Amino acid sequence: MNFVIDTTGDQGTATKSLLPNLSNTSIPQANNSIIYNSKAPKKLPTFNSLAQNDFTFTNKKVNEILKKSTVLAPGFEQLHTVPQYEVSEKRLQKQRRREREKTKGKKWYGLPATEMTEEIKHDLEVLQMRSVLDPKRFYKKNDLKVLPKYFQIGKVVDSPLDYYNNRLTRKERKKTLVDELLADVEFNKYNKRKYKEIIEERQKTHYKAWRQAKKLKKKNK
Amino acid sequence: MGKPEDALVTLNLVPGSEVYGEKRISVENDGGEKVEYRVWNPFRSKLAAAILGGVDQIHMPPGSKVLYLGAASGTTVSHVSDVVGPEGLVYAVEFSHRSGRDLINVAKKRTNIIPIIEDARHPHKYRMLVGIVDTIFADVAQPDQARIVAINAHHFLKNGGHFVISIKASCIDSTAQPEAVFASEVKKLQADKLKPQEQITLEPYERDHAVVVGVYRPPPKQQAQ
Repeated sequence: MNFVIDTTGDQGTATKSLLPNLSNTSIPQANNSIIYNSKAPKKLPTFNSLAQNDFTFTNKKVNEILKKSTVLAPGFEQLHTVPQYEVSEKRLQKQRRREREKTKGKKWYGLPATEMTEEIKHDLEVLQMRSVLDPKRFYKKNDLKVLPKYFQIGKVVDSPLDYYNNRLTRKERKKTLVDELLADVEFNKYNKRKYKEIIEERQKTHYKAWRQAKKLKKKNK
Repeated sequence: MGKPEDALVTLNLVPGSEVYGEKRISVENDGGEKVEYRVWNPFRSKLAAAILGGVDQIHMPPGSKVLYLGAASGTTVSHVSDVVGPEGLVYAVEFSHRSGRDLINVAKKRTNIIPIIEDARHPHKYRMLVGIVDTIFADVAQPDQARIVAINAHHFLKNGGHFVISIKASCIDSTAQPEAVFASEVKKLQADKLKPQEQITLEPYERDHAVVVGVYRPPPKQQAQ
């Protein structure tokens, strides 16, 4: 939006130069300038348009000044209280801490605290219990007892140098680790069998006796 | 495949490019920007083996300057350049022209590596290229390794700076016990004001190797009042 009238100049001279335009109703000449230029002649063709112009003009100016204001934001009338102009040091500290906690920090090149969705949580839990997934695979013990806070989940980039059976086929690829495991037939068979074995052993004896036996077994080791 | 595996990774300084055929892992952030990590193989890099072996500190935080003696083809150097980041610097010294060529190719893509094809025994030959550094890493597998590190430390290492040295026992004395060799090397370092702080062996990854981490001319301890 660009104004035809200069905003700082004298009102009288500015409107004077505009008046011939209005009386001639040659709108296309100033079609892309301002709204009241095209509307005013239609609505109030014979009315004293000078006062109207003046009103809308000051309104615009006020709006422009208000835009710069941080306190008088739109919707200010609906606020319950006037917001504090100066934020207290304590609150600022809190804000800064919250901002800081979003990443691991500069020394980790801003490793983010990824949002913990249900799926991601399941995946991380599977990773923590991975030692039971495959009886022929052994891992070091976990360094964390809780789920990590700062982490990222990425995909291994396929390299053309790899042999084709070194990666998953498109069909085998799933969205999460849990889905991939559930799609694995061998894994499911093994897990079901193990689960059954445990249940059967439990049913042989009373639960409490079984627990006692397990405790003794651990002690004897 | 498909079973979980652990890997040490570094944030790729040059996303989309690999150095020696290592695996890459790409991550898409919330903002849609992609970051990439490169897998650091402990069987190929002694520094990675030291980290996985549980060394306390490698003294190469982001933005630090590192003098790397025995850079070879620049595989480990590329990871060090990832670690120190765009504000850091890696001076990579390598004597062999053949592997030096590969090193220069790595340095072409990574602007924080300064390749130096020169003998590390003669630091005065590259003294005009290297400024004062925070850390010296040495993997030179030479009988006079301690002397090489000491002379470079005297030239370029700041007071209170650190050194990380990988010692291959068979390169120094193939007949003696490895432990005895490590001890004698540490003695030599101490004579040159290189105070060792930590020593670990790289056992599952390398045979008869040790990594020694220490400090050069540490500031005198504050007397208890």
